[in-house]
Order: sequence, then C-alpha cells, then structure tokens
Amino acid sequence: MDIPYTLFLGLYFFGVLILMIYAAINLLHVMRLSNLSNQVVTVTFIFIAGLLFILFMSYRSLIKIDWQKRFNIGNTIQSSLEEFNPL
Amino acid sequence: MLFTNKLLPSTLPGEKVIMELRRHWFSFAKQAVVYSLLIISPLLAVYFINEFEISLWTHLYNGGLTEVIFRLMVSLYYLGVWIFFFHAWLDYHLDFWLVTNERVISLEQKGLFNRKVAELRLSRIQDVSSHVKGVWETFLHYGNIKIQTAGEEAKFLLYEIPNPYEISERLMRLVDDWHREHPQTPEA
Repeated sequence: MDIPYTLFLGLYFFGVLILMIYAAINLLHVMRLSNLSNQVVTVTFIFIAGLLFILFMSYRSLIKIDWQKRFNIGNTIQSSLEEFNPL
Repeated sequence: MLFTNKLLPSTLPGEKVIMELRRHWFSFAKQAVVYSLLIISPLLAVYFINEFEISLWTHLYNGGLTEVIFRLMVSLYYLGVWIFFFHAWLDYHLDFWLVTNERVISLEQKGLFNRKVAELRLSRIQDVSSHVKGVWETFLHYGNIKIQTAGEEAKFLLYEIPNPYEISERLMRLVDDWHREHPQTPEA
C-alpha cells in the first residue's frame, strides 16, 4: 500500500495548528489579564521571536524533503527489519 | 479591554493599593531550568553524536520515511516546548495578590481556562500566620501566608511569597489600622 509523505505533513500541520491556537490563547491572556510592563513586553517579544525562529527553521528543514514521494508500507517494514536485525 | 493597566478591577471609596505580592521568582526558575534542559539537551545530543562520529545520521537522513518523521517530530517538539515554557511563565505571572487598605484580593491562574478571583475584607481577618518550609525557602526567604477568616472561605492562602514574616506582620498592622479607623463596624 502506497502512502504519500504529504499525509505526515498534514498531521504535522494539524499539530502546529493546535499549538498555535494554544499560543494565541496564552497571548490573549497576557493582553487581557496583565498590566503593560517592561517585563511583560520583553517576555512576550522573546516568545514571539522564538516562535517565529522555530517556524522558520522548521520551514528550512522541511523544504529539503521531496513531498511528492510515496512509500510502500510493506517494503518499509521489511527493509527496517533487515537493517536493524541484531542477528 | 486590553492592557487596562489597572491593578484593581474596581475600587472602593478611599481605597488604595498598599502591596502587590507575587510568587517568588524561584518558583518559576525551577520550571525554567526544566524547560531549558528540554531545549538544550537535543542540541547537546547532536554535538556529542558528531563528536564521537556515531553513524546515526546515515540511518536517519537517508531520504526516506525516517528522515521525514524525524524532521517533523523535532519541529513539533521544539514548538511544543517553547509554547509550554511561555505558558509556565504566564501561569507564574498571572498569580498575584493585592493588599489594599480595605481588602485582600487574590488572583490566581490555575490553568488555561481556569482563573480564580477571591476577595477578603480586612474586617473579616482574624489571624495571619506565615510558614517557611524547605531548604530553598529558608535560604531565599519565601513561604506561605495563611489568613484565617470569618467568611465563607475559612482560610485564605498566599503561597510562595517573598519575606512572608514581614508581609504577615504588615498585614496584621493593616487589619489593626482598619479596626482603629472603623471602631463602630461590627466584625462579621
């Protein structure tokens, strides 16, 4: 059975979406419930900058993959067993 | 309203904020160390793998499925750790207690969708006790303050507060001042 790599990309984007929603809710809490102080601005800025950096590095890492490729689950299991067989 | 810059949600007549109490920085530092280790340890692992020339990368970066899954998992891992790190700071930052000349207000963030706001009038305070327990607490002078009340919530807890002895003494003086200024008001 041939499974495209884009299936995993779809699952990845779903995970990223969940995390982004979580991050957005946290940012909303910062804006609604805290005072505008130097500490809040600094930490929020570092958080957003770090988030963008991780997303950028993820993009650079994932762009190297040929997402049009497909893999055959039977062949993959067979070759993995052959490669990692301690005997 | 965003960034209201108001500590008090609503003020009583003649009310002013005497103290704004937050948890000691060490309570967040403990979590920060854990999250920092979670961020740094994969990078250290990469360094040591390269240093000792372990042929792990030829198995992982073979252009196949393992490389795809590995890259996706690393990305999700770092995104998750970074966002939860921020959440830990937010949880620490949004816990604070306001002591005014009329009441003690507790604002605690207990989770993403769980925030508790409680208010205690100085007239209802019967007893204030402070408790410092633990090695770090002793050396860094932070602990818990328990306020015994006559209200619905019998005990009001302020936890991981810096200089708890001084704060509880100051709180009792505020209670005494309040009773001196309101001599006819009966205690509830």
